[in-house]
Amino acid sequence: MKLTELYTHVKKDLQQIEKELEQTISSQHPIMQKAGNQLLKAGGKRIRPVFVVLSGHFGNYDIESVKKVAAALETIHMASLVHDDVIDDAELRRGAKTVKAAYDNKVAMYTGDFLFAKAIELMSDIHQIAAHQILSYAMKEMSLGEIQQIKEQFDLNQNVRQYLRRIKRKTALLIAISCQLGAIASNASIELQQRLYRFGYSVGMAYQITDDILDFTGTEKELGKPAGGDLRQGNITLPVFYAMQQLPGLKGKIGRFYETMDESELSSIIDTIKTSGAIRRASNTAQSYLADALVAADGLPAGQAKNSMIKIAKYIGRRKF
Amino acid sequence: MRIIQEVNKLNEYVLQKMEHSFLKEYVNVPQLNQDKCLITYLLLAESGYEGEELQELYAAVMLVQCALDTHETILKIRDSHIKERQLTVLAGDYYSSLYYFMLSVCEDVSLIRALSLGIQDVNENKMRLFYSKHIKPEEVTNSIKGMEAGILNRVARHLKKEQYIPFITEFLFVSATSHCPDSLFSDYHLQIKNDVLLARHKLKTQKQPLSLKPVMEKRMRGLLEGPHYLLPEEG
Repeated sequence: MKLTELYTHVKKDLQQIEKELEQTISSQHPIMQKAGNQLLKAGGKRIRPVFVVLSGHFGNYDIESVKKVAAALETIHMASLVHDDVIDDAELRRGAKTVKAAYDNKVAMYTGDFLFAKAIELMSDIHQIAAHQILSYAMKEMSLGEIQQIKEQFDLNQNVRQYLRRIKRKTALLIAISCQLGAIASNASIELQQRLYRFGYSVGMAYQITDDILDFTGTEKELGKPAGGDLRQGNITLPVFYAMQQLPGLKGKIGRFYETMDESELSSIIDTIKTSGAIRRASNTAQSYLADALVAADGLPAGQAKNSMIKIAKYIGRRKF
Repeated sequence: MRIIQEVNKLNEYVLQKMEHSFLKEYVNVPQLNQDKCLITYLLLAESGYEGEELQELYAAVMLVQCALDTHETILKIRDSHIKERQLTVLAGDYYSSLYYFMLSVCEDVSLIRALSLGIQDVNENKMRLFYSKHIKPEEVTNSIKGMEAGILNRVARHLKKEQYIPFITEFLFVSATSHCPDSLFSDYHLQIKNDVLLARHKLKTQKQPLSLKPVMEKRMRGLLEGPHYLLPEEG
């Protein structure tokens, strides 16, 4: 089953959000317009807008407010991808040339800044001040998280707690506030807003851990890039922490790889991690977050929105790429 | 003199907001543009803001400017300086998130909107100037004006001080082009030469904030009577 089949009842609303996104990315400059269109056409899972819409159903649902929040969050996500490609010096994203590769780093900076600003302009139509405080805090934390990630790159002495804090800021926070802001935009109760935040946070954590596992277990075709990319870039993820705990010699081996950057050494390290039991352990951690998400979802009022959220959480736990 | 001291104190606050121990190892904090600082302060002061409220709004506007200026340096970074490049991107994003955060704490959604529109104006003008196949001379000048005054014109409009927009636009244009050899606009100096003369002329007649008088007049004299890269020395 495809992810999109899990929320067919909100399909019409998602189409409206897609139109809102088209308007949001529009620019007077042809290059910026083209870059925005390309990002839009690349699609993606639209997981954030979906959660905004579904969460909106737990209050007085108003598509006009909900679609603004949803489009704003997706635009922030797209803007951050454009800047991430400069950070990672990436040539391709979802099989297409990145903005920085098609033009240069400066165009990518201008496009990203433009999109961030568009998203905030869209949000300025939302009058609940709490929504702005939550979103701006999350954006600040996301930037700090990415800065911290650069600081901790290649550092084999960091701990799992640092990793969890990093992925919270990098991924889980935006998904958590997608749920929370959907509820705020619909004036749902504070209790429901918080419950939806907890649901989104746990789903987001599970999503990122799964992503980090797939970076080892996925094929190059599935991932669109060679396996072990995170480790190669110096990003120490959960399977690596668990494997290092299991195999005391592995830390030294990875350290030597970082000195030589010998690719054959990396293949051997990846194989070691895959056979160490670390993947299963990391997968259990992801499942544990999903269990938390389901507990949070359990207290939501019954209905199609709740059912879809539960199905999405379960789907994320099963996803293979 | 009191205004200059006040602005310097506010600038210390802005720098304190931007302080990040790891970032500063790799990223140079952009120079705060003194002309933009003065105009921002005086627009806010003339609108009745004072104390902590003025400080927060001033810092938010300057953080936006710093975010854009930080990202502007991206092409100057050598390919081999990977961390510098990565952290330059992130520093700009961080400063940008701070302005939004500060204004949301101040509950000023209207200024949030104004600044987001200003950022769009600036970036579209940058694209027009640096990434257009054929750009007409008058478009060059308009793009530079849009890049330089995009943020502050939105602030002026937000504060209902639209009457100062022509002054802010011409003033920042003359100021930005006065150091042309090292500026972003050096490639366009032939196109903008006459426009600089015209802008200097306009500046003498345009309405400027009343409270700008003591400080701005001195700065104006410096700008209008002092040397300008594009203009030949008289006599």
